[in-house]
Amino acid sequence: MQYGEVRWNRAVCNGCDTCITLCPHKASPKVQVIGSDQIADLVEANLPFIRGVTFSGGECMLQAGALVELCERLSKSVGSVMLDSNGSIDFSLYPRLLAACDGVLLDMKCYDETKHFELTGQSNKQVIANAIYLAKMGKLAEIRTVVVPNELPNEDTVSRTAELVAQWLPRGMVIPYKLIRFRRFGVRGVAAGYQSPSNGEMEALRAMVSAYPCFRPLVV
Amino acid sequence: MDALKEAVLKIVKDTTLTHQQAMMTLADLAVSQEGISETTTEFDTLHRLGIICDMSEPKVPYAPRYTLPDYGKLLREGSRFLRLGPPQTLDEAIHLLQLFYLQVPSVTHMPVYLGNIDTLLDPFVTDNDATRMKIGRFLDFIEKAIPNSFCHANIGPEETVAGRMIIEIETRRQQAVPGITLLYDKDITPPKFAEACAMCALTCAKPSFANHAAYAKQHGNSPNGYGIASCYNALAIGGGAYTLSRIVLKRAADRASNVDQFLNEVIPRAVDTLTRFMDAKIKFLVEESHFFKSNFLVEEGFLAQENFTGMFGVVGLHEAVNILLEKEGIPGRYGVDKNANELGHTIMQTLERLVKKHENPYCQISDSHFVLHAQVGIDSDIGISPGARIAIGEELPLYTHLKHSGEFHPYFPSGTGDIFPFDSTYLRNPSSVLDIIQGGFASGMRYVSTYGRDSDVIRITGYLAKRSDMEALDRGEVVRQNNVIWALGEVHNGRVLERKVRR
Repeated sequence: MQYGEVRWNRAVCNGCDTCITLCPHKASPKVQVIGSDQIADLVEANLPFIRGVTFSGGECMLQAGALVELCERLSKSVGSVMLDSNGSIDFSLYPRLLAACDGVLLDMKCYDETKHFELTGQSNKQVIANAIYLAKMGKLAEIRTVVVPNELPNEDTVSRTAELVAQWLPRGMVIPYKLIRFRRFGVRGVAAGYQSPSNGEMEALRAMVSAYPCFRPLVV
Repeated sequence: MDALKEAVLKIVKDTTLTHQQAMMTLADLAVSQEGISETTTEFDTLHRLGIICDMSEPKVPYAPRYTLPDYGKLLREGSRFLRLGPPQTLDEAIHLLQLFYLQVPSVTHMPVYLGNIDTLLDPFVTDNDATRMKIGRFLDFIEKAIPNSFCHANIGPEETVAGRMIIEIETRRQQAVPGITLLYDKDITPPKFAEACAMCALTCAKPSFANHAAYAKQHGNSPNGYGIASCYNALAIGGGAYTLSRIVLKRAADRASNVDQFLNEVIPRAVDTLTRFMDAKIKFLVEESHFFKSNFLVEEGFLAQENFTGMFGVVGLHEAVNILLEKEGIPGRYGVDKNANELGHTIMQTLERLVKKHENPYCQISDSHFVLHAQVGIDSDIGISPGARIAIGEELPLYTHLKHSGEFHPYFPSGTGDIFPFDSTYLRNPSSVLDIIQGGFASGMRYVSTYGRDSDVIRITGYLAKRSDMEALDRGEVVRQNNVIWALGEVHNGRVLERKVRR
């Protein structure tokens, strides 16, 4: 800490992330401003050991403009390019980006709007609209839900999401529905008190998803 | 004579040996006695300094070090010596192979090459549980009748029903014997089968992956193709290697005063002495000993003299480079620094040139030259890394490491390889292991081995052993697999349990 700011020294950093918890805004001092060409160079340095790259975040769609060039270059040099998104930004506004990437891994936190609002402070209308749009365009590569017992209507979210997406996916297309166990490890704040789901709960959700031929359930 | 008597008694009284282990060790003693063959003063000097090494092979060899019989021919024609005709059923095929294996010699007194067991058996295989049980017993026979993990089976590059069963059984069996290599070619081997192989490797350290496209091209002139024998030795089927003798670069560097003298005096002198020694040994084996004159493997054409070569082994490049740079007062570490890696290339190119200059009339299969081999070390090597491998404890980040290996593997036509243990998280995504292997091959690598951090069966240097067997032997118990004693030596001296685990 210096003058109220965390000074980050890459050479001595061991990645413990204490710096982030020290900041009253939970900001990372490790943020670097670099151009999309530099990012592409970093990714391409891993060739020939990778077949693809996924952009996550934060929320990668907050940088949708830069992603266009990046995806266009990397889809040629590296291969498959995916976006890992929470669906808060309207994908239909970015047709060039969607054309340049292979697909989107979409987070569906909660299908019920009221509950979603309680959880995130935002409506989920855009997320649902994106799920429909991406499915229809054949660009939905994976749908995922984090399962938190007691706190979220997990069963409702999974069943309604599955029902919705199944209607819009192109015929014959099969995508993973990833069911993610909530784990306390690495979580801060109020969520650190949440429980992990049991194997039984996860298996019940898996069975629900398995009923749709267009989904390959994955429990992690 | 007193030393011999003492050595004999030591073996006879050793309570950790099985009868067979004692018998083989006694037999080795007979052909290794001082004075049984003549060597030059020059050889004796360099051998005493440890700069060159005869790998404790018999001084009067009576079989080649590595033999790769043509098992395809065996299954097509049977064997007069065994009085068995070509098999008609899976039972007969397995029966024939098992009986034949017991007649195949090598430096371990057991076969070091079992053939491409999936394609050999596949014509007799139907996909059912009875077959699965028979193949399981076949593998069990190998493990118990050939208790040495230098015995090596090949599978692939095509996927077969037999190959799938072998991988499925091995994943469950968790045994160190036999060693297995998948001849892998991304254009031939289906990804699902390769992934099953990667998964098996993460659970029991086999199969290793050989760069089939590169090896098939290199062995283009071999009439029967190539096989992977013993550790990871790529040799002609229907032949093999008479001998493997080695130069210990680390000790050579210890004796050199600077890089120039190392490259222009020490190395040429060692190569000259070692190649002459190999010439004499091969001449004796071909012209004097019984093997190429009367052994049925040669008489019936399962092996032919013209398919054999001599392997010129190399160890300790890592340490040699660091020692030489230190003597020159130049900073630089092998693996990490560009100048050090360049010196590594210069040393390898010098060796390549000198070894290629030497001709041996009995190495027709390799254009009358000996072939370089990245020797994996022996249990008494301390602080000497195998071949051109980066030392344990100095591993680079994974991709950089693989690219480094890719630069050095092509120097060793008769075999080389690197080992990467992985964290158990890779079990959930075996295709990522495959990406790493595939990237390694694209970078020039010839051979990759892997195992899971938590496996019982692990790769030592060029062979497999069970941790549980090593622990038993360490307690003084008898262990059936006869090379566990070396594995234990490597664990004590070679830091094999300290390899960097990739996450």
